[in-house]
Amino acid sequence: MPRLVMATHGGSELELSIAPVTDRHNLAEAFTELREPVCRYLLALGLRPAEAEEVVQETFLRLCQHLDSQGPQDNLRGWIFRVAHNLARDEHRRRKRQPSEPLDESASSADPQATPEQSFIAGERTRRLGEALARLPAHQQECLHLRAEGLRYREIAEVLGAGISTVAEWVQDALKTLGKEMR
Amino acid sequence: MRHPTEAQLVLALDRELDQHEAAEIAAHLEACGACRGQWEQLKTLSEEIVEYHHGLRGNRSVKSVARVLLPALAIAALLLVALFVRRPNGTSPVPRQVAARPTVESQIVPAVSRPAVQQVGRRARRRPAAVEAEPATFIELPFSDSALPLTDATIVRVAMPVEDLRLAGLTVDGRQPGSMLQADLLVGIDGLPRGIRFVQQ
Repeated sequence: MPRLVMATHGGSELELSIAPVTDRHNLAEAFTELREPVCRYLLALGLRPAEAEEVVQETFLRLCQHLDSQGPQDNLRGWIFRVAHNLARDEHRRRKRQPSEPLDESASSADPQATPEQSFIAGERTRRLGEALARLPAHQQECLHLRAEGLRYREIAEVLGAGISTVAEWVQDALKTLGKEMR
Repeated sequence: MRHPTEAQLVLALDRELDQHEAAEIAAHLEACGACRGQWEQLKTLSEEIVEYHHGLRGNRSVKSVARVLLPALAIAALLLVALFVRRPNGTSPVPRQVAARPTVESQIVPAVSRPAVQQVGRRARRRPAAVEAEPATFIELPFSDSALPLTDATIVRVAMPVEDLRLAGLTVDGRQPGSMLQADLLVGIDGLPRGIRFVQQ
């Protein structure tokens, strides 16, 4: 087994050795490409930033195990989002059992170039869209957030454990509802 | 072609139709103003949803971004180390090393609870510093531009739980479960990790 001699701070050496892996390149590549989208999806599911980051780390550690055990790699993006999605559900359940903490309030994202009137109109529409999204059934919201991350229907189906035609129906129903509310 | 249903338009918008069906709808939209109007509405709404979704990330405070970014850098570095030290043929490579002797002020904060990776770091300064880094070498990571001057780099000390390192595929000898392993991340002025060294106390 290969061994890596670590840099030392206090004189004695610490040695690390690396467990066998199938494809480390997939792991590093997936982390680079998907860390941000997964984190964004978790925030959309209602996790706080610190919780989302913790779930992201856990997800990629599980991906490492998945690759080591030579698990299927044909739909890694769907796999990663599914694990993150399930961990987020666990986090929600855990949070329900604990007293609520204050939310980390965020700064405004208003466009600094816009006039006050434009900012108001844009902000108003964004607020309405956010409210309309929040009124959708959870599975439709999840569908739209995954779709906004560029996932294909087959990947969304993998994440949510549904059929592809069901995902198509959810997306269509959600857009129809939002279209009516945003008129 | 008859007017496509809204469901078909959504599928076309999401590129979920086969090539033939997509071409038929595209041709119909060219000719039918009413369907084109419906298409534009769906497209605008979809774009607004994407914008709203991405805004969820953009609305975060600097503090929360830093809280997320630095541990993420540490994990990225860890994954890259794992990538480099394991080759497909099982040989034992010699990691490339960056000769670095940056001057830093750093302190170690005991990690007591999750988040698993904690960080403390200060920007490297050119003035004489109170603490000079060990003349240890960093294992090079490919994220940052190696042409950037090291004197402007930042060293971030992170503490990682041994269990998480083991889960990431590293076998750590002589460490009890629950203990933490510390590492220095050398972050270039572009904010990307440039090297990593593990430290033992």
